Amino acid sequence: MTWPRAWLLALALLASACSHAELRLALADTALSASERQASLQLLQEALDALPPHFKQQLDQRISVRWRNLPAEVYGRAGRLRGIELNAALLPALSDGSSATEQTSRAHGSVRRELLATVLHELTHLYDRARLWPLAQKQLQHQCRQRQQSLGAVGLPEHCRGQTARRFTLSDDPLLLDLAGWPQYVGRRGAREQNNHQVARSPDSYELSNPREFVAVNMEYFLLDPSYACRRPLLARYLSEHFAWSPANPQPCADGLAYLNAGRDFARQPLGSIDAQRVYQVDYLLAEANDVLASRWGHSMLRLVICAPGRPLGPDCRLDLQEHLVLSYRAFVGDVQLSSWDGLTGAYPSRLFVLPLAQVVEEYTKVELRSLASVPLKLERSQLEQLVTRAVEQHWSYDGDYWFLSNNCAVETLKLLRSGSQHPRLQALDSIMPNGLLDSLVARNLADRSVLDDDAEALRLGYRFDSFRDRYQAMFGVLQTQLPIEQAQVEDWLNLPAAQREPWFAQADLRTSAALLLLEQAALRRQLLLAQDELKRRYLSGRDGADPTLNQAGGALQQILANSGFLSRPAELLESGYGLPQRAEWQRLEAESQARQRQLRQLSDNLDQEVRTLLEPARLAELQATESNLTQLGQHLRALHKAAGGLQLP
Amino acid sequence: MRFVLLNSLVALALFSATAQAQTLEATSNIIVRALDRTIDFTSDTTTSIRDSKVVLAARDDAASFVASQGQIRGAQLEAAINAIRSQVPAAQNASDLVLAEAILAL
Repeated sequence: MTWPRAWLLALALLASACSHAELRLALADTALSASERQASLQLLQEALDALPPHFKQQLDQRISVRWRNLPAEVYGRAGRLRGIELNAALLPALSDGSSATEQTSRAHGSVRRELLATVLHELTHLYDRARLWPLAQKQLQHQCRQRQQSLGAVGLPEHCRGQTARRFTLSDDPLLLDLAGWPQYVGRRGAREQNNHQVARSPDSYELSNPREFVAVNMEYFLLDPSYACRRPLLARYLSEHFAWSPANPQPCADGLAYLNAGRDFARQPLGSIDAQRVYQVDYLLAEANDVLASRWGHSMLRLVICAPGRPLGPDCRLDLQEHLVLSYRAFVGDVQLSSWDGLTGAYPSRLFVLPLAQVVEEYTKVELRSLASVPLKLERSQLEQLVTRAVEQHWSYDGDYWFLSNNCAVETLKLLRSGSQHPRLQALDSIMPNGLLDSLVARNLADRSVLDDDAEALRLGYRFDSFRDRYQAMFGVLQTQLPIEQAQVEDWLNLPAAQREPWFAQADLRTSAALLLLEQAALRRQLLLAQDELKRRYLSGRDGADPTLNQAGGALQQILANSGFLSRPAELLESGYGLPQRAEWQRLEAESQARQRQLRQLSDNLDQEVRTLLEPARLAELQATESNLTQLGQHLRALHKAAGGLQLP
Repeated sequence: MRFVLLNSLVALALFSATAQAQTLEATSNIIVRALDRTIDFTSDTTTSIRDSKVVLAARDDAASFVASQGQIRGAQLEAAINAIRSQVPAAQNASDLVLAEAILAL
């Protein structure tokens, strides 16, 4: 008598355990054999075990799962009414156990892992469609919709951008879209770009089809791959925060973030590593505009103020200049001439370069004669470290299109700042010009431009790097007071033949020699630019084969262009893995980048040898005379210094 | 929907179209560099201060400082002076001008 009663009680308990809000998977098993049923149930149980508790509590549904005949290329699909359908062609391998060892060419490995990933992928779609927002989110959306109705799109508060027409739990969240690679267009009230450009090192390019698939694919890896948090740190963090949960047993990550240094020193190992915790500040680095079309609006970059090894984070790191790196989005051309039409129509790929600061300072201030302003961003520590991580993620995955007007360096930099720092005051900032972006950052109290107030201090502490145009002018002033020269303008002095400047050196004292040295360098740079121009013109006009002397140097130049592409697209070096490279990939990366760099060095040595033979004899003679002047000045300076008993550095 | 086959071929074709490319600035720099014999590259792992990157990078700043009698004082010079003072005991009491002249005379 008592036995059935106890049995009934047990049933009721099971039911009550289930009735408190939990996801249930119901296998349609009528046509299945015992082993098929068992294998299927085990698969579903594993899927449930892999899911975060929050996911299962929120998706409080009974979802049917059935095996069906589907097209051969489909693993599975899901619908609100039909539940989850798996491809029946894969059932035999699951039930006889062979699927656990049968490998696929895909990232998850075995057929069984792929089936497990499929169940998780389809469940994620259902979760995403079920609008399972947390309470605070729902309130925000409600409030924003009301504001939209009363104020219209123009008067909408910043934090409401992207919140007035939400339809999905995750895949239309503004932050998710930023991280996933569908950033806002600039100046279109938050409308999103249609194409995802984070194409390199994707685990499964299916994720690029749309944000819903992106979320579903990334959940597969978040739940099943212990290295996901190392490879896609910001997405892993986003998902962990959403579910208030992290997968058990994560893999330890590689120390530091690997990057390829695109510096022009072909003799050094280009593979480097950034430790976000060693970055003291991030500066907005702005190159002043000049008259060349491509630089008419200035150039936006970011500078990582990295502390020297052993130095604690602090203001002293600002002068560890040799450690600092610059992140620069640059347009690519596979040719020596930049076509403005192609730039305006987006024909150039835009990529994120990592360069040594010293090289950037030299290129802008000495070669292009433009000054640089370096303004620290006001970011919290966590925002700053996320920004650095995000930059390296982009360095490995991003391949955009460069449009001078609508997707230039300022727009790219803004997108990086927004998705990286996730700073609320950046969400609705729209600016497409580099100087305009700095103004907007300052206006929103996101950048501290007061560092530029005192000119001399800004120069001394590296908040400003002055154009050498000004310095050459100042040096010429020194020359005028110290030597009885006739020339009235610095240009007149630089236009003199080298042989006419040289006789003045002997009578110059130390101070005047220092001025002469800088001016002689200016003369050399001028000669180099003239020679380069001459070569470009000859190269472009002679490329169709009319001028055979150009072939050798032209060949070397083309090869350098072709071969140095890897520095901006590091993903080319690795065939396996996705996202940020991890320890196992490091060795291969090191060997591969070194081999490519050696090849580049060889090519550039060849070019060095050949290129001078192509110059007009008069140009070459003037170049050599200027170089000899520089050598002489160096000797003269050393002699003066020694005679005066100056300090000798060890 | 989840597919067995990747769209990787399409993605691959997209990659290779843009792989053979280089920046505008870099292109010019390659030519200038090939022409220029005065650029010298320094080692990261040097023990002597006169060969160190931070000091060699400061030569133009040192020349500007000496010629302008201290009026033009760039960050690269500031960094080099700090490095020299912290590593060379004999330089600790030397003036900025003395150190700038020493860098200039390297």
